Amino acid sequence: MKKNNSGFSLIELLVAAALLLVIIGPLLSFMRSAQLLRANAYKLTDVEQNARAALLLIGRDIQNTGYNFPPKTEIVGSTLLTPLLGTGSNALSSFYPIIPGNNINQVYTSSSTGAQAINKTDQLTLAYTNQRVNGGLPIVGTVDPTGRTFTLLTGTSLLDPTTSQQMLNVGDFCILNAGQNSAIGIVSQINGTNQVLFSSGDSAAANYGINNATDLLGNSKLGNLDPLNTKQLITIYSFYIVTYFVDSNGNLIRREHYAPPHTTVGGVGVASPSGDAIDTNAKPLVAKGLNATYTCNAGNTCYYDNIIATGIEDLQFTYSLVERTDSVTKLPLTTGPVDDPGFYGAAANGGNQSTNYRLLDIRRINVFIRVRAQERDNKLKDPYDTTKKTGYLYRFSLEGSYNTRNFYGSNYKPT
Amino acid sequence: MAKKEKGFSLVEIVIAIIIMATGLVALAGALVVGITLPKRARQQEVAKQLANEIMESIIFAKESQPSGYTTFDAISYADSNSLGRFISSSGNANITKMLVAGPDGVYGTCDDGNTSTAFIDCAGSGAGNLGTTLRSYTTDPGSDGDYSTTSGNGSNSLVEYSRQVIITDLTPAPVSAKQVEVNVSYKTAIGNTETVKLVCRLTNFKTL
Repeated sequence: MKKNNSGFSLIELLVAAALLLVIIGPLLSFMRSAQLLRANAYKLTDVEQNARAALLLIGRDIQNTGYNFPPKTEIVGSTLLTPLLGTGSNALSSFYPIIPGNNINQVYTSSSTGAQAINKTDQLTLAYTNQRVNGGLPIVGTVDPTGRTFTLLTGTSLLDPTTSQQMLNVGDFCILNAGQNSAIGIVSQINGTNQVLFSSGDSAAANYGINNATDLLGNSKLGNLDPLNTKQLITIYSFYIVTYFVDSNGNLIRREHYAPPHTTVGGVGVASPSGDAIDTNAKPLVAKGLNATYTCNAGNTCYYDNIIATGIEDLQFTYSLVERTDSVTKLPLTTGPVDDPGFYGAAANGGNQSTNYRLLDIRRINVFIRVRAQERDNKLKDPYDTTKKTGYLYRFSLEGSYNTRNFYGSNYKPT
Repeated sequence: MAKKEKGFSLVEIVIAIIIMATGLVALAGALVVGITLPKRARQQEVAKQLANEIMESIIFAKESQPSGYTTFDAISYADSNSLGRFISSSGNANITKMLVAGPDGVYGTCDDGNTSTAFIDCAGSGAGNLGTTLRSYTTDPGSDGDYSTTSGNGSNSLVEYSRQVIITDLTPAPVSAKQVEVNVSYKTAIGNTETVKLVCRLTNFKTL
């Protein structure tokens, strides 16, 4: 019998190959488009992560804002705080833990035809007490009639019981609270472990003592009228001021403010109405994140900047307020969220600064954030581009809503 | 006898190719899932934020007592309790599209979907006053590149999302604690419906 050792014929092989091609071919092209889609998906995911991270951080700070804050905190005559907060010539008499800024920053964007354009974004300043100082509890002590020299109660110390580090540092902001009254002081010197000096030229507490007829408790000024009772009991809290804004390059920045470190003029217990000398070279003794950069402008504003997200094209805040109908000087009842509850919004920016007391009425803040990819995708057409020339720019919007939990209750009832 | 050294027949080869192709098609299916995953993650993220937003709006109503919410009883359905403002839960009646919050700024209530600013009374109305305006996100600043000017802005309505607010009394009358459940559902690219659920308990505790 003839040996059968022939294998495939050429025809058979061709037919098999053709069949294989017919079946595999479409699959290959499918995989190619899948690969493209996947690359696009990665770009989008990147963009989304930026939005998500930003929203998370802002939301946390909104929920924290006002923690342990007294309803009204005087910053009368402060030459430091007002420029820091950007109030310019419209000096505030009170400090609020929420300071909105409506459409006051500009960011470069790209129009749908690809041209560079400018978009206006909001900013938001929030303040809350520093829970790392004394475990969030107030530091109790006495203050002299100038309101400037604060001495801790006997037996207590400025050293943290667990870490043995100084709990307060030069340049920290403090709330000085005495009963119904409170003021802001800026730490300018620390003596040993039981005495803090607040800067005199810019501390409202100091001005209370020096310039006002009454002390922090609302009594007649102690130094003149009651020499036996020259020290009164007050509590102090350390607190943070942070500002969220988008710079012109689309970086979302969390700015942590500090007062410029001072050298105290005049020494302990001596009033220095002309203000203390400012040392712009000295840094506050705090480190704020890996990417933080420290900047100190001559005289007024020092801060740590942290970039928390990039590619931000728009940042908008709207505010839900407690309703009020009580008087003609107050805004009419508002049902929906408002874009600008006052303060910055006013004069130059289309709001009404005279209504800044409504800042206490803010109960919910809605955050809109829009992020874009770094580059256009030239394989896709932009549906909003009337010229149909430029590629598609990936964008993603996210909105979060956060209650200002610390404003609930009687502390921040409308006045 | 000569040794038999037969190769594969054409039929065998074709069968092999068909088996291989079946396997590849199954792989392609996995690929589809892979491609749609990022979109699913995106939808999930949006749904989470929407659920959170709805819950925060209800907490806002309870704590700040705007018009229509001056009592704790207002956190209930509009039909069963004339004080309530939320859409009835009977059947699936309170599953609606992702409408705007309406003049009261609270999601899940009978004035959702309205763009007017005048207060809408919900007393006993169930879902009778619902508007049709959907929540949307601006997706493009238009030819001027500025989002604050609305001309030419592109926007994306949240058509693929729906929401539901379920309120349960946890104590007998007078009710002092309620459970609020928020569900936000969305359709994925492969046609499934997925839901993000958020549950919160509210009491009528007030800081003195």
